[in-house]
Amino acid sequence: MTQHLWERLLEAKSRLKPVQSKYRVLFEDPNAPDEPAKVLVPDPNWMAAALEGDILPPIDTYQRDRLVPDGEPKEHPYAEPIGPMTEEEAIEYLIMKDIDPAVWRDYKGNRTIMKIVPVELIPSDRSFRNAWKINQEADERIAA
Amino acid sequence: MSTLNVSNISDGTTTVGTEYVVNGSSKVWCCWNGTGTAAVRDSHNISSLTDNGTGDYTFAYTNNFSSSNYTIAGCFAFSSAVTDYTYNTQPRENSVVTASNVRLLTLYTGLSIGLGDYPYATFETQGNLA
Repeated sequence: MTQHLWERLLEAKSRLKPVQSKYRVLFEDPNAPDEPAKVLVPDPNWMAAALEGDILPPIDTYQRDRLVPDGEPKEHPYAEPIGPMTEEEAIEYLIMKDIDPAVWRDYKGNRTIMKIVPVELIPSDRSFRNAWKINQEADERIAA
Repeated sequence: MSTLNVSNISDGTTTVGTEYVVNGSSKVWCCWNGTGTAAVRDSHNISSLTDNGTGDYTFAYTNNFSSSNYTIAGCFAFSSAVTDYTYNTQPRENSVVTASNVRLLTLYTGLSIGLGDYPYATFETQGNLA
């Protein structure tokens, strides 16, 4: 019988060293165009589990569970875990798991609303944080 | 990892059912730095933090809750001693507490009111996992 995901996460945290990803995902919500660009930060313990393998469930179990009503049994905690991912594969998994499909799947406009960028391209000065937008030029830096 | 199946835990004088221990433990917790480039300091059962703007963060869970009926608590601190402001971590609104994630605001109240980013910010939850 497959061990529950919660138990696998506890066991993984006890033995794996956290991994700070060198990537961030910039995205804008097409349903909230007035909001600033958002920055998705992979969790270091989650990234360690993704790189290790045999801990996290298949991404499609989360996608099916989105359709399951509150309080009904979910599939992902009991699914057979998948093998190790590369960091790039883990980022793609996170995009599909944690970002609304309206951003990464359904958007058909011309504006670039999502980019995977090295962490050093994210500004550390937050003075104008609520004015951040994804720069539409070749330079990948966020433009305020 | 081996599993110990017991109904009760006792120290010799006091006995408690293991369901109280399991149900009473925090199912998600996160300590993050919201200053500069936001980053998770340490956590459990979080897959990602999304920096939505000043004092506005979304946390996605690895093991989702069974429903949106779970509790959330949190606190945060400024980089120097503060006596004239209170700080509160709160969901942005009722609908942002879901079984798979939560959107939290870090709000200060005192001489003025607003959202801010802080070097030490935390939250934790209790409830039933999926």
